[in-house]
Amino acid sequence: MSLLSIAHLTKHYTPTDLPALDDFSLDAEPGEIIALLGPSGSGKTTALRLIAGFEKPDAGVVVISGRRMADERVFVPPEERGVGMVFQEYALFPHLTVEENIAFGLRTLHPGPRAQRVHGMLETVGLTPFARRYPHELSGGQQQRVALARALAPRPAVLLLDEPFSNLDADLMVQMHQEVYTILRDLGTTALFVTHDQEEAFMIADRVGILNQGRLEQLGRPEEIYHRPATRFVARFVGKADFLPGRVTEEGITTEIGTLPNTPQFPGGAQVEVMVRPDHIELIPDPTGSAMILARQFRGPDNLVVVQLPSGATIHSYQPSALTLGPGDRGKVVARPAHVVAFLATKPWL
Amino acid sequence: MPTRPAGAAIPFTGRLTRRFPRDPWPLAAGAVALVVATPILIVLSSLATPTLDVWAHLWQTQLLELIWNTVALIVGVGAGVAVLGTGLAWLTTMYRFPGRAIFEWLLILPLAVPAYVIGFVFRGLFDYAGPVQTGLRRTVGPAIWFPDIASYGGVVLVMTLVLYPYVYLLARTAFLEQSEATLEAARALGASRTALFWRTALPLARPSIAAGLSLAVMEALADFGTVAIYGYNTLTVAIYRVWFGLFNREAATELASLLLLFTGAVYAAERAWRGRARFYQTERKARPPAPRPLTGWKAWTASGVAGVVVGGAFLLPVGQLVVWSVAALGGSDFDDRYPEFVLNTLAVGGITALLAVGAAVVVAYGLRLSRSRMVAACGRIATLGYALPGSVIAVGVLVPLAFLDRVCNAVLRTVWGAEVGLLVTGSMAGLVFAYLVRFLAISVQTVEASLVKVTPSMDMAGRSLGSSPGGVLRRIHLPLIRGGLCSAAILVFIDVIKEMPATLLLRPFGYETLAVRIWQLTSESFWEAAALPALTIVAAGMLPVLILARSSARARQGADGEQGMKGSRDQGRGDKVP
Amino acid sequence: MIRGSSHRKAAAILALWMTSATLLVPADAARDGGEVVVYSARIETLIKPMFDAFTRKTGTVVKYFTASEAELFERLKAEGPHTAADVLMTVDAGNLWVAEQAGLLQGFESPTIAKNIPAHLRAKDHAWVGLAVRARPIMYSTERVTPSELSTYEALGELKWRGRLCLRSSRKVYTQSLVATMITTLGGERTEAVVRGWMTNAPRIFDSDTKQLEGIAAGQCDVTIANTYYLARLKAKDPGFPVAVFWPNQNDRGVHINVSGAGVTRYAKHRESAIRLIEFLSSPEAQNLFADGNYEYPANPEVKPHGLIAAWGAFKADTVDVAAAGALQAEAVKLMDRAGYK
Repeated sequence: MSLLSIAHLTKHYTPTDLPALDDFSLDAEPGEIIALLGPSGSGKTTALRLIAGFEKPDAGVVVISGRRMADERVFVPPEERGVGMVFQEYALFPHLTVEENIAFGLRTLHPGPRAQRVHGMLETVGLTPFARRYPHELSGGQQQRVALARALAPRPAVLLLDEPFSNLDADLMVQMHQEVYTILRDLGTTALFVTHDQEEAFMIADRVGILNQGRLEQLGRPEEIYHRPATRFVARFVGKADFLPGRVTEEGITTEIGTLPNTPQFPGGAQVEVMVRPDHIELIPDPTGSAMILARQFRGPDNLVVVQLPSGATIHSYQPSALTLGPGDRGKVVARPAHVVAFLATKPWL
Repeated sequence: MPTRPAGAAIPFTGRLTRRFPRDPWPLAAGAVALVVATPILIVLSSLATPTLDVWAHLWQTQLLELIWNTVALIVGVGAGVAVLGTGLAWLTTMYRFPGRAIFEWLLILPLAVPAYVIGFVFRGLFDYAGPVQTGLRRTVGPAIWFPDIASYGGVVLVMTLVLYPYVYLLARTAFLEQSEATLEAARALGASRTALFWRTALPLARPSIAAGLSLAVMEALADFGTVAIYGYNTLTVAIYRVWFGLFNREAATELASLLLLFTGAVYAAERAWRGRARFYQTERKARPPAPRPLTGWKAWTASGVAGVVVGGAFLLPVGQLVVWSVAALGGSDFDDRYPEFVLNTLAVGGITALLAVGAAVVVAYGLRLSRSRMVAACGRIATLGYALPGSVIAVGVLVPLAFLDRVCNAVLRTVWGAEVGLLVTGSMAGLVFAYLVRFLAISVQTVEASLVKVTPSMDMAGRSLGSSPGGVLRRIHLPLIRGGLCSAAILVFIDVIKEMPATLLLRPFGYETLAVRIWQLTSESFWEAAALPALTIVAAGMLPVLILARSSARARQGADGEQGMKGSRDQGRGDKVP
Repeated sequence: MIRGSSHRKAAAILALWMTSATLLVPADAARDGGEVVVYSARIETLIKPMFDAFTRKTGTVVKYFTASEAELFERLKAEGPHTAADVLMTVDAGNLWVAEQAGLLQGFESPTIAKNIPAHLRAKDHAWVGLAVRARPIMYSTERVTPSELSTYEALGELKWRGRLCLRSSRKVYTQSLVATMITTLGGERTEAVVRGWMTNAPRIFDSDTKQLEGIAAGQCDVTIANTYYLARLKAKDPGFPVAVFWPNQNDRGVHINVSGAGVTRYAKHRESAIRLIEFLSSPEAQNLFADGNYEYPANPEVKPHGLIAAWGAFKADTVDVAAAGALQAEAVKLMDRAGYK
């Protein structure tokens, strides 16, 4: 039985405009960490708010731990759902100490067990010496840990995190990813977190859902999302993607840069667009090559090269760090995708 | 009937499942706002049947001049109060100079003195026949020139001195809440101290300054006592002229509606100036700015300016009152009912303060929680009373009260054959109601400003941690806005004990307050005798004002206290897991 | 935590109790017998002595409520038949007339009053009764002006007074009454010409008679028009005060006067006591208290005025119906607006 079960959740903020969330469905297993990824306005925060109970859905069902939290007859208010939440800006209570913040949700415990739980959480997040401090006396990373401890103290069935790392600086973020992941795993908490950072989502989550304009376009393991995107949007959103026109023939899909196996099983003669990622493209220096380098961006561990094909289309390629080629140099382009991803062409190209 | 997943246990949760989460706030806020707005709406409704001949007469003679004078007053007082209040707030927040610690709270004291008292004292002191000019003529020579105090400049000066504390208080809080980090960032980008003020601190403090400004300007609009003393004809003066002189109360209320138009303009300007600033600040490490010490002539100039303002706005009028009171003590006015007057004044002030804070909480929350435009509009209308002269509001209140009494009497007569007489007209409830209509703006502004500290995500955090909405109010909101609630109560209390015209008209039979006493004596030119009750009002107001000043100073102390934590915080910023 | 919240609860309950206790104090309904209620625009210090004397004489308690006239009218109108007021007392005859016109007063028979108060100082049916008279003559600086330079109110518009004239604001009812009576006698056009004449002399406008007189003493101006009792008060404090009274218009209509008076309200609950009170106030014994307390001239011709004002001599007073001022007050205000008299 899934811990969190969402079916066909829909929310309109204004009756006339597009829905903020449209037919959103998701099942989370106990202990699973799911990331909701998408650009701003895609409905990620709406989804969280609906699950937490801060909004009423226009349609759909939310079930947590087997209990119906929202459907067309029932609506359980947030304080009774047993859902923990960590906010982007932490929302710590400025008038309470760290200890008191963490203890806030533990009213139902007796003072003894409550103190124990608080102490335990403080140790888990490594903030024991800061118990008596006030939020404004802590750094960003410390505040975030308090927010996490506070939300986890009541042992919620589900933990929701709304862009929890976006306020941290880069190396702190990496460190926090590790820590949060470890804590969640240790406690076995099911977590759903929202982010616009693809790296973060891939790093922490067991499964990733991509939202676009209120619709869940794909939900799956990070590898699947990356290597087998279900839609163009997903393809572009997670990692770089270029699309080349191709035609299905007996040998496979013919493109400008070679013929690829027709694994998606398109019908013969169909016009398709093939997704190519920079890590699929090999560039062989060749002064007589048909492809020309337009730009080279040195990124430290590698180079990102922009290549122009004879047809005029541009694609990207990751090249070794020591590459000496530059704009104007010519080469031969070979495609070596691990897996062929293609979509039926939306407009006929010839 | 939707099917449940097989085998899923649904524990019975009884009352926990609700169909529609009822949200009482917007309804309650709307109700409060409507009740308070009724007298104002009644005043506005008089425009439906305009007394054309009065308007025609006004148009031919004075109307344009009145409007011009009123606009000039708003602009003059607004500018004066903005400059003085903001400047002094910046000075006492950002710099250290001799006497700063005392001036910080002394500068708030003028709130305790009624405007007409300061106005009157100044006029008496600086008038042709007054001691200053007489002295000058005697020492320097009879042809010495002295600016005429009974002029536009005089009125603006006096009202600026009376009203700057509103902006001073709010601007100070805003400056103190600004992060040193922000200011440091600006400095690093090359901003000089002045640029810092204009381009960083001032824009950030804009909402607070705008709020204080609108309060001050509305009080200036509603004032009658001071402008009358200085012979400055504004719309408010015209209202009284038409009412008392032409015996035309309907036309007077129509003029008052015109005054409300000005208030609308003030509101619109305030909103525009506030900009689309978000009302809640994201959490950040707020290290309040460290004051920079001034040296040499700059330091003494700062002390001098602060000293002149405190002296002029507070010490001078109070000193004059003391002198007069001592002179009049020998007279017969200090009778044995004096303690009763004092008690009455304090009682009605205290009760109104409590109710005003309660009503303000309801309205402020309604405004915060509801997306309905109706509620927002009601809330704004409810605060318009601050710009109407007390007499006009009193008249606006009389109408529904009289109606209520007639209805009650009619009902009780038919049901029980009893004649009850007046229940609400001329009752304490009626008077307090009029005060609420008049002063709700102050409490709503103050409570709203303190609600800003409570972010929506704090609400959500609280509820996700198992706290009911009531629990969120109790455990999160109340501790955070407590200071604001106290400030609101104090400000309303002070304004009620100073209020005169509505009190005169609506007070219960036999209920005399200090303000009524002052009116009686000044209406027959017994100035010296009026000094004692005026002084008592100031004394009664001083304690609450001092409390307000102390809490404002404590905000500074808290700030300084945090400086000591700087070291450990920097350690924390190293981001090592201890 | 628990301690704090019980404190708060106690405070809340206390506050609630106090609030409801005070708020539920109803309007003081007039109780029967032994009392009379006065709504007075005349301030407490100037009426309490007479009321105390009345109580001593008759045993009837006098309760009073003071406010300015327009406010008293509003309150009376709003209270309607349930009003507690038995007597309305004002400081200006015009206001009494307006009250009468608005149906706030009732007439009554009283030979006592008819005997005590001259006919031109009361309404025919005693709907209002004048009780004290104040005059509003020209006052001048004894140091810079000789009486021979003065003649009439109108003459203050002459060129020689340019820059030397102080006048009371047109907002005050004293000025409005003066102009109203002038309209009655001289007509609207001529009065407007007079007022415009005053204005061409660029008078300083004051919001207080006392300040006007002090201004003359200080040298700010030389002549003004003011109520007799203000000068009397100043003279009482300082007999050498350098301002004197000139009775204008002695060859035509006379000096402008006004009365302070009272009337019985339409819905008076204690009509008899009210009439007794007004009769008492018109009697010699109260007249002295009434008038002398404020240096006014008693309306009762039997009663001698206070020595200080008696020293200014007798004068011919304008016998125009003082209440007529009320009828023309609105017109007077508009006239002054047109003439630019602030």
